[in-house]
Amino acid sequence: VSGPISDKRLFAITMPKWGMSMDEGTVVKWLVPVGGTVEIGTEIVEVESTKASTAIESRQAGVLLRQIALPGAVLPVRGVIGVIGDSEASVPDIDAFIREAHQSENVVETRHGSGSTHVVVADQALNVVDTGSGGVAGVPLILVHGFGGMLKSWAMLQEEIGQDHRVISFDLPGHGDTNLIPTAWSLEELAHTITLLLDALHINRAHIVAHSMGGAVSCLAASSMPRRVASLTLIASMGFGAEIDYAYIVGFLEAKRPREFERVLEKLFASPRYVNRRMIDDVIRMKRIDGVAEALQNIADAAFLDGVQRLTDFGDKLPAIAVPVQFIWGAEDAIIPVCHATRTKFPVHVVEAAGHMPHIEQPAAVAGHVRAFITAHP
Amino acid sequence: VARILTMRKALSEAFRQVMEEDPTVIMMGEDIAGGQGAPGEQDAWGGDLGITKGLYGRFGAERVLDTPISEMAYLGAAVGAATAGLRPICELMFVDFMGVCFDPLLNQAAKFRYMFGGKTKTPLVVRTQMGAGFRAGSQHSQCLYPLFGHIPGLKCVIPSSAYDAKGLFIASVRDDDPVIFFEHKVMYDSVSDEVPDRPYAIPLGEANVLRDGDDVTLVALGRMVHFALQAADQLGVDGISCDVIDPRTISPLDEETILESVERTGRLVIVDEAYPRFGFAADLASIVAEKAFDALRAPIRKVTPPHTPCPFPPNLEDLWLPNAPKICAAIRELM
Repeated sequence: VSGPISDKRLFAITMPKWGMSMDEGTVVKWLVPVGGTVEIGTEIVEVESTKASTAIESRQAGVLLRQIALPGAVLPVRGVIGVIGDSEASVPDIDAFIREAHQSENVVETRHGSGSTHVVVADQALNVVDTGSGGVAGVPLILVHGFGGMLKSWAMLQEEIGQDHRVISFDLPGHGDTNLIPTAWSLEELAHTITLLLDALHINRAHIVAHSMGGAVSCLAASSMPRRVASLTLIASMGFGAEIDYAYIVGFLEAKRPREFERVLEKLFASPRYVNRRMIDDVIRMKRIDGVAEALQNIADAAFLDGVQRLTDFGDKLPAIAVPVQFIWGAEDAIIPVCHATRTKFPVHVVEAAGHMPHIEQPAAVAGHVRAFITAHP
Repeated sequence: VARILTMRKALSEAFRQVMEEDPTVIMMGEDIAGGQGAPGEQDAWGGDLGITKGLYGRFGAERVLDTPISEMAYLGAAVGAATAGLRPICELMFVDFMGVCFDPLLNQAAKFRYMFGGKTKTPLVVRTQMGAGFRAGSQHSQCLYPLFGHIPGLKCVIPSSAYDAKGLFIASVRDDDPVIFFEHKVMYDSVSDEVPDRPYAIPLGEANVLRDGDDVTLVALGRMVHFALQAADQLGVDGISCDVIDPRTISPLDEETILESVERTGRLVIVDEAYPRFGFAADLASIVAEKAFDALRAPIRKVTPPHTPCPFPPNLEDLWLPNAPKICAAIRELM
């Protein structure tokens, strides 16, 4: 069922089609570990459709280089499940091959419930909500959440702007419903996932709206691909000064029980009524998943040192890359002080009756500032 | 990725994941592989209700053991294996049959850590089915968890959702003490909710608060949680708001969450499918009476079956079980 897509002795294992009615299948179990040797006929991965459940056999001899789709992932027919090839193949070669395979297949998206989609980039499955269409000059908007956050936190803003604009939110690695790979994540690596997401969705250029740590991550992304970022709206962003309420970060990392999370999360809002059981439950469920607590700790270690932010100089660096930048900040932000924004040369919109999460407390006001900015910078 | 799964599928995924992550996890029980005497069809059934279907084919006869119909023998073997480095998951078809094999649990597994100065651990999980509503008569319908909650050294887990079932099961297998895991047989296919595909553990001893209210604290376990939620929804229409708390484990018990709620509401109603005498509801009533007496504004109420065996005739079985109208009536009396 696997077939060569390239001449570099790399082969994609793809979702087979068993009969006319099959248009997707579920990956049940990998039968060969990454690095394991396969012969022609070796059973590599078990796949299930509504009709049948069986193992896919290798058509090539070589080494299993990547398991792209994890058990439980639902892939469309011809979606790329894994890569077989020469054990000498380099990581960049494999990455490039996977990108190419995705483009040639054009079917890398796998659908799940509640409107979210998993988009496979490199060896990650990013949880993505892609809504609306069109918009100013047809340039879509990408939403990047903050530390410990998830794409759900954008729901209200995405609904506001998504009415007449394509808006894409996603869960960063280590967060929400994005499948995790166990590694120490630096902010640079998180930034690279934005690039990979744009590639996977065939988006050449996008506006970015980013919150808190997602702001610093997006500044890094914009610096590495300035021509692909139409504008940058930074909400209560990290990356512009050392100060941060580090007790919040520690509290978030250490909290386990609902009451502890309630106390921690209340710091994010001007009005504590925004912290409800649903929000607490979402965060607890995310943190319980194996590996997430460690991943968040790794990300925190990469972002902070001795209780302050590590990256502080985007105010000096961003003007050089010629990407339009604006700030939005809650007037009652208790996590990062608004002076980090006002001392830069970029425009700052202070939103009243909002803390660190103005896009949740005042979504209409935030949407207004975003719309005006992307209209002015198509 | 979170998918909507039935409790059956959530448990099946948990079994697979704990066996994949830890090679010392084995599964044993009657017919869980499907019958060794049927070559080629060992995987046909998967336990009396098909819950372990697929495991034999995946993990083989070394790790998925069909046992003789001799509960005393295989529970004893499982307890021994647990002390010797394995993590057995032992299925005892119906909790009603526990009478024939109580010693290995009551007097061995539960006591080793204490008797051997903390040097021995017994990481054993006993899975068992419980509960009425299955038209199975008085010998296959009991909720006997109070028998186990009574014994110090045993942990008792009673999931009420697919999400909880998977997370609590994984936590039970990772726990170093003996755990009895109660699966309500009516809930396998009738309960479904969002379950992440990755492994996750819900700590044992942490209650789940499903509704926030000010007037009444409503504590319920297992299938009764769903009746409690129905009752809370009905009462909400009349302006009576309920805290609905699912303790999830009765041993250890999250007293703190329940007491904190009663301090606020001043009223406690406990819904329990176990017999009313010497049971969980009676125990919790005594804890609250001792520790939060001053907060109580009304008598504590229990909603349980009567203290009789579960009837066989379906109409009488339905009458015997607690349900939402009975819970509503109990709460209205307190207001």
